[in-house]
This record gives sequence, structure tokens and C-alpha cells, in this order.
Amino acid sequence: MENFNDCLFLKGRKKVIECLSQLDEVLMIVGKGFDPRTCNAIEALITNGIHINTAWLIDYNDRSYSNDEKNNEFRSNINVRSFEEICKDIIHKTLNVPTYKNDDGKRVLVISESVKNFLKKEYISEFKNIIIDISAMPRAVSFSIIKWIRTIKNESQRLYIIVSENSEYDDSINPIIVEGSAEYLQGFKTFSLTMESDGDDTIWLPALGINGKEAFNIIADYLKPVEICPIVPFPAVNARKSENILRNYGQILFQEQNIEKRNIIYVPENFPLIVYKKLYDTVKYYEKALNKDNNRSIRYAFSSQSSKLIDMGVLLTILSLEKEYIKAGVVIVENKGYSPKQTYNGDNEELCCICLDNSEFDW
Amino acid sequence: MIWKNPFLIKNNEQYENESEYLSLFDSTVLEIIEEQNLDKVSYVSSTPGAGKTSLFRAFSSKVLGMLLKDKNNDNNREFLKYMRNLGVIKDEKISLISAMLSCARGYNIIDEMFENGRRKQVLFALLNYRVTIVFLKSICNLLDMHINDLEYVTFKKIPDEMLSDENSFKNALCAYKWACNGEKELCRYLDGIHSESLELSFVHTTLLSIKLFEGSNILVNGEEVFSHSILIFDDFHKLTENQRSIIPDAIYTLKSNTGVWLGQRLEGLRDTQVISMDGSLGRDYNPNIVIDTYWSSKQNVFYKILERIANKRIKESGIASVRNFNDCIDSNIKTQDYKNILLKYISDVKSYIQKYDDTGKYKEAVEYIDKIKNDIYRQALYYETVKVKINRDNFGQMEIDFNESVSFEELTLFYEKNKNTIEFYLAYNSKIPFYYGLEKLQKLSSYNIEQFLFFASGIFEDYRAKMLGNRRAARLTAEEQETSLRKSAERRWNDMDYRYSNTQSIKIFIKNIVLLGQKSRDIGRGSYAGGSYTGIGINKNVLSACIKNDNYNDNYKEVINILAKCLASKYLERREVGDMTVFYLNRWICLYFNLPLAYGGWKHCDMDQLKRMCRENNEQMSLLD
Repeated sequence: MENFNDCLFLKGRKKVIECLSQLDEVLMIVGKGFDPRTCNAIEALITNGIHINTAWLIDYNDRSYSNDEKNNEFRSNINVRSFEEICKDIIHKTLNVPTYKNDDGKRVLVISESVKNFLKKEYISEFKNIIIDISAMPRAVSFSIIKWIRTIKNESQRLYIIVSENSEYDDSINPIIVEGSAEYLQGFKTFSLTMESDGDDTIWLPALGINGKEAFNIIADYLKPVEICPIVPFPAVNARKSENILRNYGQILFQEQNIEKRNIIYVPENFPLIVYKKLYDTVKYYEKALNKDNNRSIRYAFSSQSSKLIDMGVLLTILSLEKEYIKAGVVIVENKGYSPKQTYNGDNEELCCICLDNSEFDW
Repeated sequence: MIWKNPFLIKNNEQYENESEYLSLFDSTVLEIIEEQNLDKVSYVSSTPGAGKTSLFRAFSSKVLGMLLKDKNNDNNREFLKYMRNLGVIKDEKISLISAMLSCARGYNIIDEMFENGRRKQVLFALLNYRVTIVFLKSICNLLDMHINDLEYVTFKKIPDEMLSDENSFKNALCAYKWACNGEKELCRYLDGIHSESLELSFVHTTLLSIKLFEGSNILVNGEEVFSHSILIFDDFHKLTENQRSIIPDAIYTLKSNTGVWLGQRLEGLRDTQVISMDGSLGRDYNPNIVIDTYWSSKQNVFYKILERIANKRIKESGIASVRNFNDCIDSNIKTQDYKNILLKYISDVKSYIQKYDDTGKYKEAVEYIDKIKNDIYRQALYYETVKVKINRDNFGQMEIDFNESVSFEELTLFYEKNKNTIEFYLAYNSKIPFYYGLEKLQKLSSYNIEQFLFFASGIFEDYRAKMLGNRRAARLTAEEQETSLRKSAERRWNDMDYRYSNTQSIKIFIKNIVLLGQKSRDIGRGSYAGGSYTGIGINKNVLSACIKNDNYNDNYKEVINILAKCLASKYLERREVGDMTVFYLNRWICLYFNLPLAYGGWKHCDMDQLKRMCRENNEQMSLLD
């Protein structure tokens, strides 16, 4: 599907299971991490009789010396054991897909090349349906995997993105970011996006999160955009979230960056297809206003410090724009680990699924 | 309308126009660049906020063009003078063409995509195309030309390797088209749009574009217009180790007259300059410019720069009643407000003197001090001076003391020599404000412009809030200034938690240095500049042995790691003092922990001590002296 407007989005365990229960020849891809939601989706699917042929655990190997690293490692190992227990009756394996590579003591982002090297077309060709669970994947990893699989799969194969959405928990995960380390995520025509011959006008659409101020400043310094359109979640599970975010970012947005209030884009936290539609329309509006004769080459940079469903809205936007030869990419900031909350509250957790190759009208 | 704090305007914004930039930029900073930097390789390193990008922008064609257009503007006089002295402007024409390339454009992934010679060729191809594009755009900006007018720009000599494709270089317009098409095709190949392998020309075995764009090689309407050209690679540290090695190698081998500046972030403890077999110091490359340490030896000049920057920002605020920064703040404390506190303190010091001055050595001086009327603060300062002297006598080094009485004149001499220390001790002991005034704010900058602006923005914000509440309000008092600065310092301290994964170790390490400082402060002998230690020193050879040849001595790996991170984030500042490498606390950390802002006091430590300081919150850390 080029345009995702009519994609099927399912919210709620019952609906997701009902939809996926018809599937056969299923490959499920899960991320290996400390996130307690790692195995929630796969467990829900298997215990409800969905026939998953094969499960892959993606070890993106993003290790670091974090204050919480021992805890993270401990939780990651628990998740691996859970995964193996849940998948004991199906084919399962772990794939090493490193996010970073060590270069002279520094880390180089290599996820796009890792994904190409380790996820070959022939490995997935036997599966009719591919489910990617992004619950325990950093966005650099999930974006790269989804993009790559969409590139190599054939038309008859169907792709589903599943997530155990819990924005409250996402907000509690503090990435330990590295100063001055923003870069475009490779794999999204990044070289063409940053051509010198195209000029430097960048419009930046950052999806703001509660703890993303540091990353915001780093990306702003990197992009030096001509216009910024902050994306703020509203409505959200926490009704005051947008207000808290704007209060937190107030000085940066309105004093340092001189952003107009009308530039703020409010998107619902739990409906990625509406996020996609709003962002897509925003970009198309800018294209119409600023690039009437197609002479001016503007690039649209997205970034996200927000929830997983908003991340997906951002990704769908970029994928759509790419098809229309509009230059769009996602900027990420390197991190050296995470400092999540020690206890997990699953009260607000909800299983969601985006069926990229299914139309809602078929549902 | 939302009020905008002028101290928060970032001066390196690409979209900010050139006249705004010129109005905010202080040209004294250009001192860092010498004429030899215009035609050799120079590494320019700094921590964030030291002003590297701002400095680079000063040499951009747009800024230089605006400078000449607006040369009668008083603000630009000094700037013009510097540029004339450097040879950038000759006979009222710009004789330098510059171009800047950011290395933060994903070049590092090329080393993953290809191997060996191919990766070098691809990298150089991309760089050659991009260098050509940026130089030609720069020429258009400077000479106010449209891209199509580049057909009137030609090259005196085309490098031999480029002759096989002579038509692409018959004039600059052809070169521009060659570069744009080449870049597009190469980028599409790298993005995987074309599956076939791409043939790359022999031209890309090295960075020939640098040779092509030597200043004297560019002809406009057949005439030489430029005598210099510089190419700036910003964010050089973003490249891989391999790339950071092959680029300077290529430049040294080319022996081009184009100046190449490699702008990078200070990281680690090693000398960041790549010493290549193909290049030699002086002939091919200049000594490393480290912006952070450059200014520490030119304190007065830097402080003047800060004052001018602050005044320019005040002007931007548009508040009619305020002309310069000193109009917003009190430079002295209102001693009347602290009369009772000072009287109480003087009484305590008198008791102290009585207790410890057994021989009555200071009796004469004290009698004289008691006669000081109408200036309670000055009186308190002299009492503090006596206290420091007594501490030295009783708790310092053994001296032969003939119990001679100390006169008031001698005491005054001692006070004048140790004024900063005594003022600090008085403020700390009596709990009156110390961190106020422009001079303290300048010291608080730790030679970093961004840091100065950060603290100044807090002060200005509070001043503005006070003014809005009461239009007749005077300036921010000393106490209000100190409160504002402490608030800003606390923000910085808390922000540390989001920067590194081992922040706790870093904080423990810093706190242990602070503890050393606080202990030396509390002794109150004034033995160190400012009144206490504010740093630690390690023998250069010992430190060097720990980081030699990329093999950190495993025993001290953690120490080296923490020192490197502290330097990169400017929690510590590095100085070379004789055969010692000294790491001073950033001055905002001194403020946060009530230490003086003067440099000079540091404690000699060995690596084992530093190792303990990484792990233990050691309240029992003893001073060797």
C-alpha cells in the first residue's frame, strides 16, 4: 500500500486476536530487550491459538555501561527465558542485528547495514504473514526493520506491526543520550536526503515526549531548521500530558527557537493512522506553500521522543512521502543505554496492531 | 507577544541573517586565527558552546560579503580591521573564498558498506563533488552572482588527473553541473536505488577538488580575484577513525595552498591532531587550536569580549532604560543591609582572635581596625584578614616567629595581596552574597561563551521580572543575583543525569574533588589562589603513560574514562602547569558547592587516589599538606 489512509488499525486484545486468528504461515519478529512488554504480544497470540510458525528474537546488541545496565541485563535475560518458554513448541531463534559498531572507542550507527546483512529476502520468502512486535525495540531498530522488510517482501506477503502500547511506561524510560550525536537514520534514502546540491532548507517535525528536552536541543543544533512544527500528543491517556510537555519545553520552544504557537500539531496518542494523516497533510501543505514550482528542495526531518504508536504514525508518514519523492527522513540521537522505571504498571497497557497490507474496508 | 530573552538567541543559526550575526558577534574572537591558518591544515577543537561554529561562520562568504557592504557601520569596524590584518580583505575586496562542509552527514556508514580501496574512493568521490558545490555556491554568494554566471569563472590550472574529463572543468558552471550530477548519481547508488555497481572516475583517488579551488587558481572574467581559500570540515569527529586518517593524509600529499580547517569536538584525553607520516608540523599543518584553553591565557581579553557580548544582547532586548549589562545588576553589596550580620560576625572573629592570638601580635592592628567607622564591610574584611593570618601562624608551616607585632600597614599589604581570598572567606563564613557582579559572571563562564550566556540569561530574566513587577525597581541586588546563579547551577547539576550512563561515578568523582576543595577552604589559611583547591593535578608523564598508544592501563581505565567525559562535557577544564596536567572544576560547579572562582589552587594526586575518587564518596580524604 502506498497510501496508508485505509490501513486497518486494531486496538484491544480481543480485536487483534480475532483479526490475526485467520493467519497461517506466520513469522513473528520480537526485539530482545529489558522492556517488560517484550513477550506480551507473542504470548497473547500463541495462547489464543494463533498459528505462528517461526519466531525470531532480534538481538540488536545495544549494550552499554548504564547505571541500570545490570538491572536491564537481568530483565533482558528474563525476557529471553520467557520467550524460549513461550516458543518452545515452535521454531525460534535469535538473530544478531547490531545497532552500533565500535570504532576507536566511539559508536557508529550501523543498524541499516546490519538489517540488510542479517534479514535476507530468502529468509522470509516462505512466510505469508510477517508480524513485527515493536514493544521492546528502540525506534532506530523498529524503523529499520519495518522499512527493510517492506522493501524485500513480495506483494503477496502481508506485514503487521503489533505493540503492547503503554505510553506511561514509555515516558518513564530515560535514554542516556550522547551529546552532539544526532544523525539521520540510514536506510531512508539518507544520502539523497542530505545532498549538498539541494540546499539546506529543513522543516523539522519533532514528536515531543516528557523527557526529550536534551535530545530536542541536540537535534535542533544538528538540523538548524527553517521551521519547526512540534507534535504534541492530545488527546492522550494522561489528559494533562500535552500541557506538561509544553510547560516543560516552554523556554526552548518559544524563547530559544521562537516557534509560533500555531505550528504545534496535536495528534491523538493512540491512533497512529490519524497521526499519519495529520503529518502527511502538514507536509503536503508546506510543499504546496513553499515549493509551488517544484524548484525548491525542502527536506522534512522527523524525530520522536514519544510513544510507540506515535512513532508508527511518523514512520508511515515518511514511507508515504518517500514514495512521492518528497525528501523525508528521521533523525535520531545516539544513546548509551536506558534508565527505565523499576516497576512496571500494566494497567494502561493495550495490545494494538497496524495491518499495513489490509484495508479497513475488508475488516 | 511572547517576550524573548536576548541571551538565549543562538548565534550560529543558519537562518539568522548576517546583519543579526554581525551585531551579536564580537570580533576579538578572531584573534585565534593567524595568517598561517589560511593556507595549511589546522585542527580547531572545542567543547560545546566555546564558539567554534560561530568562529567558522565569521569566514563564510555571506558574512564577509555583508561586512563589506556595511563597512561604514560602527559595529563592524573592529571586524573589518581583523580581516584586513589577516589578509582576508585587501584593497577593500574580499580575497578569501571559503566553504564549509559538515561531516555529520552519514559518511561514517560508507566504511560499513564497502571495503578497502572502494570505501576510500566512494568517500573521496562524495567529498569531491560536495567540495566543488559548496565552493561554487560560496563564489556566487560573495560575488553576488547567479549560478548560471559561473560560466565566467574558470580555473587557471586543472589538476592532471582531471584532464581526462576536461570538458567538465572548462569553466565553473560545467564543474558545478558535473558535481551536482555526480553527487546525485552517487547518492542514489548509496541509497540502493540502483542495483548495479557504479564506476567511479580516477579523479576520486584523492581530494583533487581541494587543489582545484586554491585561491589563486580561480579566475573571474580571466582575472585572479582570491589569494586564499579555506575549506572547513565541521564535526570532523563524526567520521570513522579510518576516515579521519585518510583525509588529512590526502591533504598532506596534495600539498595544496588551500587552507583546511578540521573542526571537532574535544573528546578524550589524547591530542586530537592526527600526526601523519605525510605531513609535518609547520610545513603542512599548524599547531592544534583548542578554543577552550586559548582564552585561559588571555583572561582580560576574553572578559572584555564577554562584556561586549552582554552589552550587545542588552541592546537587542530593546529596553530603553537599559544600555548595558551593568545597568541591570548591582556591582557591590549594600552593606547596610547586612550590618547586623557583619557585626555579629565581627564579634565572633574577635573571640576567635582572643582565643588564638596568645601573644597579642595583632593587638595593634585590631585597635586600628576598631577605629574604622561607617564602613562595616571594610572592617569585617580586615578582621577576616587577621583571622587568616592567625590560621597561618597557628596551623600552617612552622616558621621562626619573633612575636613581632603586626602593624595595620602590614596587614593592609597582606589584604591587598590576598583580596579575592579574604573577600571569599568573609562572604562564606558570614553568609553574605559572594557570587554577584559582572566580574564574577565573567569568571563563571569558564572561558565558554555559551556558558556565560546561559547564566547571564537567568540574571536578565530575573531582572526583567523584577522590573515588570515594579517599574521603579533598581537593579538586581547581590543576593538576587546569587539566587539566580545558584538556580541556574542547580539546573546544570541536575541535567547531568541525562548525559551519561555512568553519571553517578562522574558525580562521585566531582564531589570528591569538591570535598578536597571544601576542606582546604574550611582551614581558612588562604594558601591557595582564591581560598581553596578547585582542581587536581596529575604528573604529565604518568597520565600520558596511562593513555599511550590507545592502550589504557587497565587499572586506570575507569579514571581515564571519567576524566575524558568530564572534559568533553566541560565539567573539568584542563590546563598544563609545568610538568603537571591540572583538571580544574568548571566554575559553575565551584559556585554550586561554595568554592571560590579563582584558578590556581589545585591538589597533586596520583592515579591510585583518583581511582579511589571514582568509587568512594570519601569524607575522610585527607590533605597531604
